[in-house]
Amino acid sequence: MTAILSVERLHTGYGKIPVLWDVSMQVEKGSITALIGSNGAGKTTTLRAIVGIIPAWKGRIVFAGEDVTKLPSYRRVEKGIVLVPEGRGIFPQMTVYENLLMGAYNQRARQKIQESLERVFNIFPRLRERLNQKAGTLSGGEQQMLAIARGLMALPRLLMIDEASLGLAPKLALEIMNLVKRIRDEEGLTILIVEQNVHYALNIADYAYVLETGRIRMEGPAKELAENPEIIKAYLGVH
Amino acid sequence: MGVGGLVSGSLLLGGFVAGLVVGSLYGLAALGLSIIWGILRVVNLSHGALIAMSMYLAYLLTVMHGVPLLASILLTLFIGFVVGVVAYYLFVHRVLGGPELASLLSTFGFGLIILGLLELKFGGIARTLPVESSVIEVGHVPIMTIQIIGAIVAAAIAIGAYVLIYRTWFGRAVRAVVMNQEAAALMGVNVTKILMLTFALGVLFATTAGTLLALAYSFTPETGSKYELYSFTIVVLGGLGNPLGSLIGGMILGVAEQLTSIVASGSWGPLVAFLLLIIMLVIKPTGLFAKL
Repeated sequence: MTAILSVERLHTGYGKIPVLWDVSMQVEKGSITALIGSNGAGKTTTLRAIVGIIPAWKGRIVFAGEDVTKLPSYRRVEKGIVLVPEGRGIFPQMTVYENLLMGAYNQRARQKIQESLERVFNIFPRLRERLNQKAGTLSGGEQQMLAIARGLMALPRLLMIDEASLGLAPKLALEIMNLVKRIRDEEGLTILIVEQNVHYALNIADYAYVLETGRIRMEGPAKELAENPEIIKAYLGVH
Repeated sequence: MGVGGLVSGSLLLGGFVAGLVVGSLYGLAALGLSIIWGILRVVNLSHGALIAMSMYLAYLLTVMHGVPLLASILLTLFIGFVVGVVAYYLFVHRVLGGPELASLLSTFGFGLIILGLLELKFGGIARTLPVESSVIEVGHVPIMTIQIIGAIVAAAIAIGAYVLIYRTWFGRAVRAVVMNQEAAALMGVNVTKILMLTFALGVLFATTAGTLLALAYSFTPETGSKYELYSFTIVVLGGLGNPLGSLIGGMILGVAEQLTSIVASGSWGPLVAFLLLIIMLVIKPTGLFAKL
C-alpha cells in the first residue's frame, strides 16, 4: 500500500489563533482512514487545511506525490481532493440535479457527467426520484446523501467526509456509514472520515488517528484502537 | 398635451411605447447595479459615475478623436469591462466580507474620482453624440429609431444575462457563491475570479446602458446620478439579482415616467421614481421577481 496523502508537521489556525500543532498523518490509497477526537480537537480544521480552505502556517501537504501546500482550493479539487463539509453545504435553492452538476464543476469531472450520474444513482437511488426537487426541501438524511453524491460527482481520488452522521437518527447514520464503506469496497476509493461518533468511525475504518487539542495523540489500525482501553474509556463511553 | 385637460388615447399609447423603449435602457443600467448588489452584497455607489464615464468615453472617442461611432461604442464597452476588473481589485476586493459601510465608502470614493476627472476634462456643459437617426411617431409621440435599436439591444442583453445566470456553468457557479461561498470553493469554484467577473460584468452592463442612452440624450457629469436613482428604484421594483426583473422593472419605471410627462411635466420623472420606490418598499420590499 502507498500513501496517496501525506500531511507533514502541519501547523495552522484561524487569524492568529493556532489550532493544529505539528500534525502528521498518512492516508493509504484505497483505505478508509478515520480522524477521531472530541469536539474542538481540530478535526475539521485538518480537513479544511488539506483541501486548502485555510492555509498551512507551517508543514507540507503532499498529494499523489505532489506538494499541494501552496495551491488554492480549486486547484486541489481539480487534482481530486474533495471534501464533503460538516453541515453538508448543499445549495438549498438549487435542485438536486443542479447540486449534482455543481459537484462536477471541475474540468476533469465535466467530461464524465452522465457516467457519474448513473454511478451516484446506483448508490443513492432515492436521489433519482428527487432530481427536480429543491435541495433545501430534502430530509436531513437525503441532504447527507446528496452531499456525498455531489462529492462523488467531482471524481475524487481522495474523498473526505466531515461528520457524516451528525444530526441523523442512529439508524440513518448507520445506513450512511455503510454506504461510505460500500463506496470504498465497490470503487476502491480512498476515504478520510472525520467523526465524533467514534464507534461508527472505527467500525468502518482501516486505520485511525486520534486528535486531541490540535495534536495527534494516538494512531493505529482501527480494530486495535477500538480495543484500546484509553479509547474505550475516553470515546466509547465505557468505564 | 391633452385638449381641454383631456389626454387622447393615442397619446397615451405613444407614451406607453416610448416608456417601454426608454425603460429597457433603464433596466439594463439597473441590471449592472442589481447583479453586483445581489451577488457581491456590495451597493455600488459608483454606478451613476460609471454610466456618466461611458457617455464621455464614447464622446471622447467619437467627437474628439474621430473614431467611427460603432467602433467607439465597442471600444467604450471594452474599456468599461477593464475598468470593472481594475476597480474590483482596487476598491472592492479588500472590503468584501467587512462592514457594509466600508464598501459603501470605497465605491462612493471611486465614483467621486470618476466624476472629478470628468468635470476636470469636460466641465459641466451638456454634450451630445453626433447621431443621425430617423424618427417614427407612435400616437403623436416621436421615438428615434436609434432608441428602438438601443431598447432591443438592452432587452437582448437582459435575456442573455438571464440565460447566463440560470443555464450555464458560470451562472451556476455565481449562484453557488451567493448561497454558500465556502461550499462553492469546495466544488472547485475559483470564488475570487467569479466575484471579479461578476463585478466587471455589472460595470459592463452599466456602461452599455450609458452608451446607449448617450446616443439619444444629452449628458453632463451629473447625468449619471439620475440613472443611479432610477437603478435603485428598478432594483427594488424588479428584485435583487434577477435580470428579467430588472428589465421589467425598468419598463414599469419608463412607462410611468413617460405617462407622467404627458399628463403633467417631464421634470416629474425623479418624483415618480421616488414614489414607486416608496410604494414598493411598503408593499413588497423583496421586489416583484426576486430570484437567485
